Amino acid sequence: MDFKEVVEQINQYLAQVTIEQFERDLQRAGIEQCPDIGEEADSEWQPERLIVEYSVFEEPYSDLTNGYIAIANGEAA
Amino acid sequence: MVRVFIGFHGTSKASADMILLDKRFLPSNREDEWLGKGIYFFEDDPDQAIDWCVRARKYKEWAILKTIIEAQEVLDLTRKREWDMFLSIIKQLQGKMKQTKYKGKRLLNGVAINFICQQFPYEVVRAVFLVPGRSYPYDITNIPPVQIQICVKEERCIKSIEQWRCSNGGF
Repeated sequence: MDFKEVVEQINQYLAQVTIEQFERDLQRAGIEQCPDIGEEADSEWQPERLIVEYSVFEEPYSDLTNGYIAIANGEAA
Repeated sequence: MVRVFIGFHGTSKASADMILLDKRFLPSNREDEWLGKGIYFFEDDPDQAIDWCVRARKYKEWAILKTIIEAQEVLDLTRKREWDMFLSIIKQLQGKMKQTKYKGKRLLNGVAINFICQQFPYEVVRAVFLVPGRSYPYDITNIPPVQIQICVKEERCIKSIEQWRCSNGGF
């Protein structure tokens, strides 16, 4: 399946869906178990706990030593 | 095009015995799963499954199951084009969510993927994650420890299941 088609169809869905139906679809997808904005994920094994910092300068591919990815778990600079 | 994956699933020894007996997995229904509802595997890397059992779940007795997975409809978030489009969908969902009673909620990956899979029949979702709970010397190398996870949405995609290893050293 062409992912572009998926995006177009979702765009169309979002343009047409009523708020009530959208809320029902979100509920079916599990939105109620999501944390509130600003809340921490409850386990270090959740990807949301991995705060990824990607620092690059002008050209990301020109000098890879300029880039680093740090898992900011208190040890990252 | 059918894609074939080798997946390793780590679980308690008791659950592994049940899976082997029933010849089927029970899909996870937790909404906060990383890639949404489904059956989870580490692709091509049994050591990630062992790490999951020992470090994350702290099973005293565990087993690793090896499976062959075949799927045609794969949402592969390791690919740039699909990842870019996935991000675009998340942004649009977040925008629309502001008009709903869920505007204070943080949209987790798994829920966004569940939402997409409600609209389209993806059989498998594949993505790379940094290995949780592990720091690495980023001042020495910019290559982080990663793992490829596969979430099987359709059980029929699992073509075979066998025990690969268990905690007492057996195969």
